[in-house]
Amino acid sequence: MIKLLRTVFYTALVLSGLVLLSGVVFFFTVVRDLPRVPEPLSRIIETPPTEIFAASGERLMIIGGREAVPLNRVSQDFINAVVATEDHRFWKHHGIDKIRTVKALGITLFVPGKIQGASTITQQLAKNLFFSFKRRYIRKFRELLVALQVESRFSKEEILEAYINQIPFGARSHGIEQAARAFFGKTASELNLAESALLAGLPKSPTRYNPYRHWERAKQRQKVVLLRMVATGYISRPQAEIASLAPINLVPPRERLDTGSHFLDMIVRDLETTYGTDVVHHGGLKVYTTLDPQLQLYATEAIRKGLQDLDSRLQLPATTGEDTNTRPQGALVAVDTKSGALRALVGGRSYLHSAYNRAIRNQRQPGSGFKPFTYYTAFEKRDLSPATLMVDQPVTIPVKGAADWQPRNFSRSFNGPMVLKVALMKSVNTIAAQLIEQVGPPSVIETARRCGIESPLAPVYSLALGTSGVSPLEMAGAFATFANGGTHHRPYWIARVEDAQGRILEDHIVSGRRVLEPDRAYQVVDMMRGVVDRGSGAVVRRLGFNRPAAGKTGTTNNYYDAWFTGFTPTLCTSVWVGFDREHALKDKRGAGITGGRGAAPIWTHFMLRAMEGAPTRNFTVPPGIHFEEVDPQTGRRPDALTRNSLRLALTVDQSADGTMATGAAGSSLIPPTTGDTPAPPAIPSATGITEEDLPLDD
Amino acid sequence: MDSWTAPHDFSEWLRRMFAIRPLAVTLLICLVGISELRFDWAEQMVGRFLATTNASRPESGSIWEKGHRAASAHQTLDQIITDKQTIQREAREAQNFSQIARTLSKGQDVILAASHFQMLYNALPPERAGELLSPYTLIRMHSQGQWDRTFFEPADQGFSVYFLNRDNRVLHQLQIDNRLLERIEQGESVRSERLDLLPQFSERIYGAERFFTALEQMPEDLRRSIIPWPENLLKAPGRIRRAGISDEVLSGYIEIGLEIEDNQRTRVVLFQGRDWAVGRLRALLEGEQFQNEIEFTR
Repeated sequence: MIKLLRTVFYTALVLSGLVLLSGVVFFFTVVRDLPRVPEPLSRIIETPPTEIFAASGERLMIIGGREAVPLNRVSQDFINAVVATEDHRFWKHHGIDKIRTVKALGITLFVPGKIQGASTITQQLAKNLFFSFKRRYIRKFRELLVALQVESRFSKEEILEAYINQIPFGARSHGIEQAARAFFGKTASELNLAESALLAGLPKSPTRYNPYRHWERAKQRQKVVLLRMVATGYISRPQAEIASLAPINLVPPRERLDTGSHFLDMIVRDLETTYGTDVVHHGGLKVYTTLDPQLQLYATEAIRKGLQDLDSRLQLPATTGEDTNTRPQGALVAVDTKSGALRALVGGRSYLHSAYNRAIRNQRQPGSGFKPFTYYTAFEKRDLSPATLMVDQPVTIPVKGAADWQPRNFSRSFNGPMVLKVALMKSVNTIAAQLIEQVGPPSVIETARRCGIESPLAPVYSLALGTSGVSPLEMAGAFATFANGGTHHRPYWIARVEDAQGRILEDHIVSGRRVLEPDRAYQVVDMMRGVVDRGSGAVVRRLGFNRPAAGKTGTTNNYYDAWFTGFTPTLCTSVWVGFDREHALKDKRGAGITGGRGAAPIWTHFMLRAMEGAPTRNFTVPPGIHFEEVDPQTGRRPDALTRNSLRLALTVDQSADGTMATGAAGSSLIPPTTGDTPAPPAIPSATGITEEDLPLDD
Repeated sequence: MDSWTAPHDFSEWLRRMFAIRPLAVTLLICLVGISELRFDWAEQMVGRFLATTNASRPESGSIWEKGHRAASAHQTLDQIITDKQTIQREAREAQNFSQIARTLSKGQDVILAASHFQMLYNALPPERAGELLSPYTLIRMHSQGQWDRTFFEPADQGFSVYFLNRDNRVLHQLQIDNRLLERIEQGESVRSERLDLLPQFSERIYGAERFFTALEQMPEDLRRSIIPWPENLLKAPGRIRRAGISDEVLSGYIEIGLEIEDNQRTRVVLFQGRDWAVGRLRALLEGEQFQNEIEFTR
């Protein structure tokens, strides 16, 4: 027996020695690969963030970096809450909480299926700074060693400061200052007990306790934090109860996340293309954009309200949620006509539910919204004018190698002779088709290109009716060219980029290029004013927008897309609504939603607020333009029988004399008549039809 | 010293176990353990030891990777800034537009103060500076007091110049062709050749009498747009025999060559005329009559 004991004793002694030796070898092996700890510790939060600013100077976004605050500028309640929740012996231990570790080890080993963590704040800091989040024992050991080094080298205050400035809280916030701003719109020093407890509960699982998505869970977690604070003696139970009942005013997620989010995505993508990902995320750039936050808010609200109205017209159940497939989407782009600066951009119904940016990525058919380019081309190439008379009649256009094209009007009827201004106001398809036949699709494409349309445009006659897809951004930029007297400013959204030291990397120069003849461009503007005042976009006036404005509606086949692009002399806005997939916008009675019904109201709601307080400006009339009253059916000066004469903008060499347009080969486009009054025999007589009687085509 | 012998029975074993020395050792071990629990000296010792090895350990882990990416980002930015500053410095030191053109050929934009642009403009031969930009335009911009800086940007076969106000809005814009610039900076260039040896004038060479008769029919302001400094021609020795008009338009100017004969030697004087005025002259030379006097009064 004694012999056995002796053997056991010596074996144990040798084994202990071996274990000790292995431990020492293991320790030194691990130490060799241990990451170096930066000194000072604050170095980890020194990288300046990339900041994106609005035109007003308001900061819109921070990328990378840390918004560090010293400990003395953080609410004591938050410090207490974090310590109580994460590591209540923090002020006492030297990196490891041995009692808690033993307890956790016991639970992990003896309670099946449960793993208990016992990481101290210092260990968590070590993990966040150096290690992956894989659960491995060797990683745990390395983390522990680094924690011991950190504890021996830095003060508790330094450790806590580093910790609270880098922990993730969710909602794109790292560090307490960012979190306090993101969730409560205040600084870290202004947090009260209730807010502190709510925030201190988030780092455990920022997604699971996200107060925007899981409010009840977040409140439960807040209570847990408050109870920990009571247990550790930081607060009394009554204080905890008061705090748990205190109202929490979270910054609304719409203002916090949606404002400019599609816009910010676009900015970040552009920056990454120019400078590379590392520079954008770690370079500490200062990016000054053209966004007007107030206009952006109005735009977001206008789209939200407009789409809500559309939902109810389409009788979509409220329970459908924000599913992008079952609800119509919308996009809005507003640009400054004088510079091309992008003032507001909404890329969809909700950025939270779909980050797809329909304002720049969608290439949807603009329908009749494309007609102004055709009319301008006809004015420039064929010397036509708003007073030129053409006939709304059945048209057959031969197409080489394909069936003849027979465009139809929206109303499925024909209204005989009318001046071109009326044809655009009423969006008559047959006349637009005749015009493109005269000038040829390539000329129209060339005009659109000059105005900034970059999407592929098919050189076909139906282009006049907007059958090639474009984006709202392109439409806004192109129509702004008309608004600006034919001078095109390429839309831009980054005004200046600086590095962290304020050295300029990029500075936008506002340079316009004259691409359209000012007098012809003005004539198209005047015609588009007619669209808004008395044409297919008259809903703008009915909804109370009384400033000088021009625009054009657009609706595509089967009501897949509804557009309105319009402008005042200073601001041009394009609105699109439609489903992401091919699905008609039709109301409960089966009637289609046109650009005038679906998009123009959104445009109006936005513009009413966007222009609030701005001085009323008229469109500048270029030299050489004069105005004449005409009879819209004859193109001549009104006589005693004329009802509702129309004012046209004409150049010096043009006059309202009832000139008929001639076809591509010089043939008259008006059926031959005798006398002065054209009266086409094959179509219903236009006699007695006033401008108001004409159907609103689209 | 007594040699150690193993205990022979349990009582011996127990006696030895509870002897003073083992008890003292056990107590010591317990004290060490308790003191560690109480004072954490082992953690501190390990921590201090690790601190001594810190400098030799690798810069690994997420924070260092982030740091390296930040360093690389700053390096990239520094490079961009350095390139810009180098180009900018070269441009600031430029004494004429050709040097600016050479700087721009590196593909970077340049911004100069308005006063610097004026200095470069003044360095051009005065009789030809107007071909680049009318001095009246410069005077107008000056008098408006808005012209703050000038932005130069490389363009096809030359460069674009934007006159900017403080808000970066373009007040005036012009395109400069490097070949035109070269000709302007050289002043009225003289070539010891004959007109028909210069390919740009082929089929557009006219007798001097025909040329000047046509020129004389034109109003004075048009003639000045074709030959901006006729005084120089008067001073030149020799007799003008022939005139040629180039088929090439450069930044709104057309080159004109006058072949001058002097003591059996022939030379060609080259200068630039405004394209629209030279076009009118050519129409006259080709036999087209004035359609309307108004057309000529601009």
